[in-house]
Amino acid sequence: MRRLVVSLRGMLGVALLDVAPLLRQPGWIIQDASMTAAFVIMLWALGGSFGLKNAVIGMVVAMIFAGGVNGVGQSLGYDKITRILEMYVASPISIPRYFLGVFLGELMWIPTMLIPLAAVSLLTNQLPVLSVTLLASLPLLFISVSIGVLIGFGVRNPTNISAITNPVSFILSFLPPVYYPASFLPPLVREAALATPTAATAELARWLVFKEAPVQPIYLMAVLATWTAASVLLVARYGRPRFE
Amino acid sequence: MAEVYAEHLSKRYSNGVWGVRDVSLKARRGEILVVLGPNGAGKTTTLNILSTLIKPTGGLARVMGYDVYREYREIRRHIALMPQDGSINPSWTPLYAVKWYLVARGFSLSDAEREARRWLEEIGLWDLRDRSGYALSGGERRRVLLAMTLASGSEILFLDEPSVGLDVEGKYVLWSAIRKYSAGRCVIYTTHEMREVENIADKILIIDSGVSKGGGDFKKLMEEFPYKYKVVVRSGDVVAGNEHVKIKTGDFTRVYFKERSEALDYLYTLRDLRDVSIREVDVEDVYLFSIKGGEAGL
Repeated sequence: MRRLVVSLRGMLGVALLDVAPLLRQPGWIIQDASMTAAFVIMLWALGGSFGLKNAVIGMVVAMIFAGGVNGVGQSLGYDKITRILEMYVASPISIPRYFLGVFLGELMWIPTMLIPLAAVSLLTNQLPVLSVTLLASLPLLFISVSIGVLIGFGVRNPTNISAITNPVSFILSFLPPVYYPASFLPPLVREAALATPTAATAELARWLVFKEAPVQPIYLMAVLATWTAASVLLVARYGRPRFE
Repeated sequence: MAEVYAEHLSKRYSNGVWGVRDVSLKARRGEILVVLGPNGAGKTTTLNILSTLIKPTGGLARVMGYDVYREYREIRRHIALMPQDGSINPSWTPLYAVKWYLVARGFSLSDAEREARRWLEEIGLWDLRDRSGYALSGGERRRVLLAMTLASGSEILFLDEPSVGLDVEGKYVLWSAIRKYSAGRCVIYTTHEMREVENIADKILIIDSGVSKGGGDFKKLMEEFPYKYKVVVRSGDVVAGNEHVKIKTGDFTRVYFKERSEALDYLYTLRDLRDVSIREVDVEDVYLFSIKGGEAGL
């Protein structure tokens, strides 16, 4: 019992150290909330109810993916730059406790986008879309955090971390069919695009919402299962600080 | 039993570079061991091995009786590290940083608050406790890191050049805090500043090119040093051909003597007495003898 309490405290401590920029600089909340509202309005204006539903799906998927890749990756990178990571390692704070603490800290960022999105969804009767997409995004949360961990721990020069995580996050959130349906793409490109975890998650959510998909839903599930399995294996092998 | 013990420790990095080649040391509870050495000597590598950040290539190292290679998890329960060039996240205030770092280590919130206050007061940062890291100077940020490690109450504390970036007053505050901390605990402290040795060392270890070059009880080393006085003279003015032991440092040469009278006699042999001084030997001379060795009769 005592070990559990100590572990929970440890995670909370790491999380609160990690989330300090958000707590001390609430300007981030305004940025995230404004961006959420802007995207929803843009897609709603362009696509009506269909655009609105896709905006909610796209925002949730992009938010979860960025939270993992960018948030976790950059947190680890920053802890390397300040060398706080070395202080964590040379201490009773185990690597899993540190990792879970960073994860918890990153989860604390999610409400900055989720609350405005929930408000918009409530006002426009899109709460079921939001709920379904959040549920469908659970594997993506694990995958994105794993990618963030692998980049964060793996990068040799952590001052370059955002030059890696930002493009990964941006490209995989905007290029493949996340904000738009995969049916828009030609069949040859479509399956390749849907092999990305972001597009597979978004399309799975769209299938759950619209009850139709341009590929068999089993293909989307297989894609996410493959990414999840690969994440487990890679994090188990490389998901720790490497000082030599 | 030595709380920190290493014998013939070596580390070769994957790029083939040797971090350390042969380092041995011992430090007991209640002692401050100062590891001295020039840049690139292997001080940080030694500390990183002992604090379980990196694995040794050869030799033996034990902390609290545990092997650094196989039992690193046990060791981590007893240690804290202040890394070289470390800094706090600028979003943290001193109180926030120390308090939540302690909670991360497993402290209850009330214990963390109490210890954070105690050590922030000790190192003179309590009045700045709620100031954002952005508004703290580099030295103040380093002191926050120090407070984080001291407040941990760890049995073994590793401090890698903790005084870098601190002003004179800050250094005295740091030394005082570490002295208080070391009662009943073991502190390993790296530096290349001799003043620090005189102020805090119980023991010293001199490392050069990855090899232990000597060390031991600081007071004893000073007592057993074979010379008591030195004449510091411009290298060009050194009288050639005598048997005195000398060490060249930059433009100056130190000439060593057992008695003050011998040193005074030496002065008479010099043609130019500008820039000449007679001084008692200090830790710098012990260090230079270990690193360079004395040369007689130059």
